[in-house]
Amino acid sequence: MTFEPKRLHISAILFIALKTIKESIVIIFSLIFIIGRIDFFNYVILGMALMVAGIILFSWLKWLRFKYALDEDGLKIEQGIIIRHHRSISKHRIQSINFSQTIIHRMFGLTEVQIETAGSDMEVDAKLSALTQTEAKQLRKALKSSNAEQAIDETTEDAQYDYDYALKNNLPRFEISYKRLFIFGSTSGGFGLIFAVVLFIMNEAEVFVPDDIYETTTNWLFAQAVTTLIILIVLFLLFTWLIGVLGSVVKYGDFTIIRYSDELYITRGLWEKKQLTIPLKRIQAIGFKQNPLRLPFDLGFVYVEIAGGEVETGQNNRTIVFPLLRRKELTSFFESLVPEYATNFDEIKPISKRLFAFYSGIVTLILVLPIGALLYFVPNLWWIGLIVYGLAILYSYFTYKMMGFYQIDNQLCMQSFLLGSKQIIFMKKRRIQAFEKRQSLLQKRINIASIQASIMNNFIGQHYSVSGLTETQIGNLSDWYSYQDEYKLEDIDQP
Amino acid sequence: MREEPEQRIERTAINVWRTHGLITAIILLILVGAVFAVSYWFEWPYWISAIGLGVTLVIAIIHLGLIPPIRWRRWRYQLYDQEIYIQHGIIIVKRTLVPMIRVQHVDTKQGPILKKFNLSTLQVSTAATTHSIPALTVKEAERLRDQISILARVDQDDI
Repeated sequence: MTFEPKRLHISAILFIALKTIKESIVIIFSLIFIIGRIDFFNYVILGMALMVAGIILFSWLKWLRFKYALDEDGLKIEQGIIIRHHRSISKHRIQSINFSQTIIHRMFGLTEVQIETAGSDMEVDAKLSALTQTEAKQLRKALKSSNAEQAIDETTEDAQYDYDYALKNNLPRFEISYKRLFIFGSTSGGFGLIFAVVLFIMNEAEVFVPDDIYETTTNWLFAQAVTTLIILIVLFLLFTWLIGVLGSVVKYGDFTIIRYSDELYITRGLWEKKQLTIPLKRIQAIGFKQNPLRLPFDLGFVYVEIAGGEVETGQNNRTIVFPLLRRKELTSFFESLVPEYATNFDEIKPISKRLFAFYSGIVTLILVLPIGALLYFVPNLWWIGLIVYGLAILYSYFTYKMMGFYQIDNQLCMQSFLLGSKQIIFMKKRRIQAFEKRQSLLQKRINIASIQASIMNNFIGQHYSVSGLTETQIGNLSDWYSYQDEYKLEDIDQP
Repeated sequence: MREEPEQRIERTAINVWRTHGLITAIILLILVGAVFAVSYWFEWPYWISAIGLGVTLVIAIIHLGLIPPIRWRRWRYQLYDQEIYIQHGIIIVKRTLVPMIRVQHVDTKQGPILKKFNLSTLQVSTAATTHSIPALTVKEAERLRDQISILARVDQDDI
């Protein structure tokens, strides 16, 4: 075991520089936009040159001053150009060790290593931006070896986080096909954002494109027939959609999830290859979410809520563990990868019809004034009122219809519908931090109420709720959640 | 869910909430006064300050008169060996179960207003949520805090 402090691979300078540029890109662009408008082009170039020189110097110093060392207790890191920063990470506190490689890393046979602990630091606890593959594997081996909780067979340790190993040993795994990935990208709804970005760039292009070209183009555009314009718009939409698909393919290409003894191991990405490990004990809940575009095809993505540390978080601090799956495939997904959780879709109990009546009542109350005003002042537009009211009632109906829940053994499952997305979440009893019943006076009268279960997600709470349960159902659930019958005060070791 | 919790918080909580309401009302009145002064200076119409005054009055009535007694009546809690059971809420009544084994830490807090009434707030935190029981006597809050911290010592993995 080495005690000698080591530097990162020299190419780390490049990664530090790229990261710095990426972080300051907003400043650089806003400078270009501001100065570009006043037409100080030479100054822009001068400024850029200075900035690049500064970044190179900064990155080199940073690399020079960054050292890491292994000892029997764990990992030690020293860094900082002016203010020296020492950090030691104990082996026993390490939650996961993740690798990721950009295309540049792969050209040099390098990898980035991220080490996460259960600490309350929002940042990744340690990030080694460039190590050779062998160094990285040795590091992982050294940091995991004496971890008593994960008694891993020494001989296989090195080969374990490897695709071929998983194939040979027939470990449970799921992979995404390119067809699925294409559907995932098409239905991700991300093209709205891309559309806005492209529009913004086109708008700002005015500054850089010479005036005469800009004018000729706009004149030409206005002179076109409607059909040409429509074709152009369609082409434009197609373009933004394609970019969206491309983005997902690059990000989630070759997505594979493998179950090792007590960890989930994910590899994904074409441009930047990422390998993440998620220890099962950190998983707080597993969910399946279907957005409005995927709902009609019964498709959705699987995610986990994780406690502490930052394992590659996606939407809302969730970690996607499979990008696209049919709902009915979820059962086999759970059975092979997380048999600790059960799907049991047929157990889902519908909620009370009175909730639909309740929602319809609220919708009617909210809409009665505006629609009344509409009918009074512009009676011709009565159909708009009808459509709005109809849609609102339909939405209430869907919300009622999609909601449901069930509880078996030590697992609670809630299904809900919010803003057009259907979501089903599976939680273990011991992961639920608090359980709440919510009921207004009116709801009490018609014997319905909502429940809310809170779980931990990274460092904050995440709350899941379902409405329209009867008093009896909630009583059963709270008895299930309560620990009152499970142990007595005398069982506790008094200090 | 089972019956509501048995314990009530101190009745002086009503006065605490009324004091909060009074402070809000005074701040709003000062704002309305400022708007009135500006309206006088720049010859703006006076209905703006009139609306402001009306809104302030309504808020004052709600926060000084209506809400505090209802809130007090609703607020209940009960401590079991295995869990904390809390009820609160005015329009929507919330009943929360917090198992002792999920409790991460427990604090007592006291601001200047609570201090005047010799009261204290008990705050119980889990990994995901924070629950406070407002307006307990200082002694009671401290007793509960110590009791909860003993009860919360149950080994988490045993259950």
